[in-house]
Amino acid sequence: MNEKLDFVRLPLALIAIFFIGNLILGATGASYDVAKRLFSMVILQTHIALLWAPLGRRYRGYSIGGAIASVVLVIFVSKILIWGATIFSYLTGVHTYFDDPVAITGSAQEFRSEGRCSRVPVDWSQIVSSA
Amino acid sequence: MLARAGGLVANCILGVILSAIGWAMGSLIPVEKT
Repeated sequence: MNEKLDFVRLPLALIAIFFIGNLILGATGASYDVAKRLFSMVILQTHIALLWAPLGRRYRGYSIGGAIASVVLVIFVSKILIWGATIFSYLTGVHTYFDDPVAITGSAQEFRSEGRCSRVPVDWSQIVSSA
Repeated sequence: MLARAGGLVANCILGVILSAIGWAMGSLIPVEKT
């Protein structure tokens, strides 16, 4: 485990940077869309999975299980940060991107009804019914 | 928090699949400097 933690130090540092980036952008009032374009932790996880697993195989001799374990370790740390920030937001009432309706439910309906979303909402039911 | 739990599971599954794909492509990385 310690050996794998040592191997994924750079991905963990990147996850931490993205997490702090989310917090800073949230504090400055940037929109959720802009924040996710710059600091999407899930996209970073996919890139780490695609790049760190082959590096582990080539330079550390990891089997497929070892490579997957090292990536899942990074995902777990990332999720601990996300869960921690979500719980913090709910408990304190401080709005961060981690308690954003888009992040929680995947829907921007609540956000749009408040007029805080920069995109024009699309009513897909009307488009489908008119086709 | 249910959505967060679902996200954890989904991300882990995605990570496992992408890691396996990445691991399979690991042989493309050169071992030594050319």
